[in-house]
Amino acid sequence: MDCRKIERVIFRFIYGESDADELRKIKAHLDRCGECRREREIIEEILEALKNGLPEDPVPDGFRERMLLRIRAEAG
Amino acid sequence: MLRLAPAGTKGSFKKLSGMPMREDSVVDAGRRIGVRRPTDEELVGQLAAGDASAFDTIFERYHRQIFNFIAKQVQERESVEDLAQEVFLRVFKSAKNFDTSKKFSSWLYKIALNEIKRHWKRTGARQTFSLNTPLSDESGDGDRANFLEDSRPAPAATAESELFSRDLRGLIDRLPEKQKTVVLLKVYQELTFEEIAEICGCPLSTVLSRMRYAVGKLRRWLGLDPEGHADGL
Repeated sequence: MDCRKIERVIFRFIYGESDADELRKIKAHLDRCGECRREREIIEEILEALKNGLPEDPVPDGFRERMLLRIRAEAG
Repeated sequence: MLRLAPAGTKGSFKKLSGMPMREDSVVDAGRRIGVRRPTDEELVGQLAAGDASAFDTIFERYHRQIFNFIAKQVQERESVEDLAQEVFLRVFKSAKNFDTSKKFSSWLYKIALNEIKRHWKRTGARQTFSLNTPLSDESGDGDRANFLEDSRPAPAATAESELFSRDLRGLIDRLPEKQKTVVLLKVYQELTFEEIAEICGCPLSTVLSRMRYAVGKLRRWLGLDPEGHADGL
């Protein structure tokens, strides 16, 4: 697997979605390619910043009850 | 739990559950006595058969995710709630149309995505959180790049953290719609790329490309691409 191919599958690898064969090939490439290892680190930093950077939007109080009323009104 | 109607009232619904109980409590109790947790698909099947208590469980499992998925794309809080309600109303009404050989969560997110698109079409606006002003430090030499080293908000850094969150929303909104959808479904909803492909109705390779392009752009906008490679993404 070369660097171009790694670029196409790196996200699947980072999120643990590679199959066994792909996983083996990516690991072998990362073991010998410092540039791709660095790329992986940067991508992981960005993904972590994205994940931590936006807080969860709290569900407003009474959402269930209003939902219930609407279902009763519209779905009988 | 969400009660759809008092037990024994009109409709073909079976008797609803009694004491309110969070689903995780039920699951814990179920595990202890060896009761299997129904799958989402089984629950929709039960709902389609008229068991409204199945809707309670579906709602409990998914309402936070769906609310958050919509809230990250629509600014007005009232609209977010309306849209989230619309999504669950559709589930309630359309349970009979659900193909139980498919994954329920994919169907649910597809409904949510369609509702959001309908909303954009109605209101004529998509870029709800966009910042018209450029980032304070496009070069990436400043605080934004440093944020990546430790994103946990310290008490004294709350204002800075909020500012970053606002900027980040603006950046995500600057992404092309399809790329933004993939980022939101992956990073915040934690779906698999396979699921996202099903929701978006495109091949897995396309989803992976959209993710790559999106992260490439964010990387450049965050000033983390010193060689400017993401320009072409």
